[in-house]
Amino acid sequence: MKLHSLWYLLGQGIKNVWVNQLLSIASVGVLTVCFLLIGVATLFSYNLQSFAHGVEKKNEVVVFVGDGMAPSVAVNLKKIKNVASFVFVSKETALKEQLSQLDEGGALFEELGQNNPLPDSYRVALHDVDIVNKTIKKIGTITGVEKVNSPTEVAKVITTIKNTVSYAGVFIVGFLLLVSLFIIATTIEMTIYNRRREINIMKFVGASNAFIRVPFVVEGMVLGIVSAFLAYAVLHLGYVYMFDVMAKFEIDVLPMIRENIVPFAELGTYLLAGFLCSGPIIGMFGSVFFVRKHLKV
Amino acid sequence: MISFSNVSKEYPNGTKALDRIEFFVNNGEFVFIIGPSGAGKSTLMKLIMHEEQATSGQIDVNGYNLRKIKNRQISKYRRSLGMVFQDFRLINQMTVYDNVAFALRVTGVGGRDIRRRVFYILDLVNLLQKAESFPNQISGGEQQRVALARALVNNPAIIIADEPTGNIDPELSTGVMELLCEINRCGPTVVVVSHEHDLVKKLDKRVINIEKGQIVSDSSCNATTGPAIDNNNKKRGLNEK
Repeated sequence: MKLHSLWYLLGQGIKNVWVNQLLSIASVGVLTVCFLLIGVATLFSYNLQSFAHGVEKKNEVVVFVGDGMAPSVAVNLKKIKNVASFVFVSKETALKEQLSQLDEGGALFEELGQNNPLPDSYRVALHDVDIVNKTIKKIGTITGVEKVNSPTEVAKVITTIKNTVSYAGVFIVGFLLLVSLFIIATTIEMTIYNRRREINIMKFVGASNAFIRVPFVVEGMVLGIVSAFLAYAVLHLGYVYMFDVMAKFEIDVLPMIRENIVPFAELGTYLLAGFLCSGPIIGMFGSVFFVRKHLKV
Repeated sequence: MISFSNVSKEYPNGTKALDRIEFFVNNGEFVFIIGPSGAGKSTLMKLIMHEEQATSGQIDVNGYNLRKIKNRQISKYRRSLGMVFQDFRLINQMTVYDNVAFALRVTGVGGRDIRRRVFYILDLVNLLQKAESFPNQISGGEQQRVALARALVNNPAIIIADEPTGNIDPELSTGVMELLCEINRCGPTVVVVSHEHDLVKKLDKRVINIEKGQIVSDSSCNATTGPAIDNNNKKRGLNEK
């Protein structure tokens, strides 16, 4: 194909987007909605994972130790592989913390004076919460350890959320991708069906299959690119807006969610790259496949 | 040159549209193909255009054996024909200029040559002033002249016209036929399918009459006579100087 013909066909493809405005809008609309669904599912999945990770990081095991046994317990804690770090909390510090949390009721405890009933303790952070029970058993066997308090239930919930989010995320994105492909294919077929007369005329004046196909391919790619940018812009604005709204509410869990929010910039580039790769490819292959059906004249 | 040798066409539903057709059209001839509805005229045109394939027999057009033509050769073959249809078959999203230019673009002609050639042909069919109009902005007669311009722009060896006057007023029909006669005088072979017997008789050309899929008569006439035509166009011919 000669260069001036190629330029003409590229121009025709871009021009066709404008000429067939209604179907172009329909195609861009469908593709944008599909990208949005995939984008929302991806962002939701990443944020849940980040949230779960945040909660996980805060997951502490409290090890109460007998009087004077703290140094020997510390030596043994270091030997356990799943122990990431630990902080010593003296009985005095523990009492202060308790009193500060109890407000007015704290006055009753203040009367206890020198008779502090709280033991010394270690706050232990773990590497992997999935094996928390095993680690607790090990800590329990250390000489000098009186009691181990662990939020086992929370750990279980976190693990379940993490797994569910991972599996559901993959399933949802995969399912949406299939639905998108089906809807896009139908839209492209509808577009080409409406223009089968045009294709027929082109064939009769001696246009080769490639000559007919190129503008449709260009058109499909342009629609894909427009949809990708549109979906990216809507996602970005929606994401920012949602967190602006969230900032206005004061709910107990919100600070923790805010702390673990994945910044849009961190994921946005990947989403845009994904949209920009898949959009034109979907448009291009859809056009090639469905034009082929109408080329047999 | 068009040669049909023992050609039959039967559709998948069992309808036998053509039955052992035989005829030969020389280069530069003007031939009418006439016959009642359902006689097989349109099937014959479809076979020439390679829109349909013959069930049996041999068809040779412009040196192409249409029974053996390869898929990749079809577009090149069609460029050697100029086709005019009853429903004009213009692309409504393109201007008159672009509709005509499209036939040149598919052959890879450059932009400057396209402009020169298209303006010349549009002048020939008296549509220069409508170059920027869209098909739905011009009359049926003008649309048919655009279709003729598109058929001519590639300097085809054969012009095939399927009921070219079927969708236009009777007074404009004579104009279209005159234009076809003029084109024929410039060199190309012209094959016209028509059911307008009066118009056909008036032009005094070779007439092939088809009925029930068979040729019932084939009259060769003096091709040099015909209606009066515009002398300027006659002098210029189809190739611009």
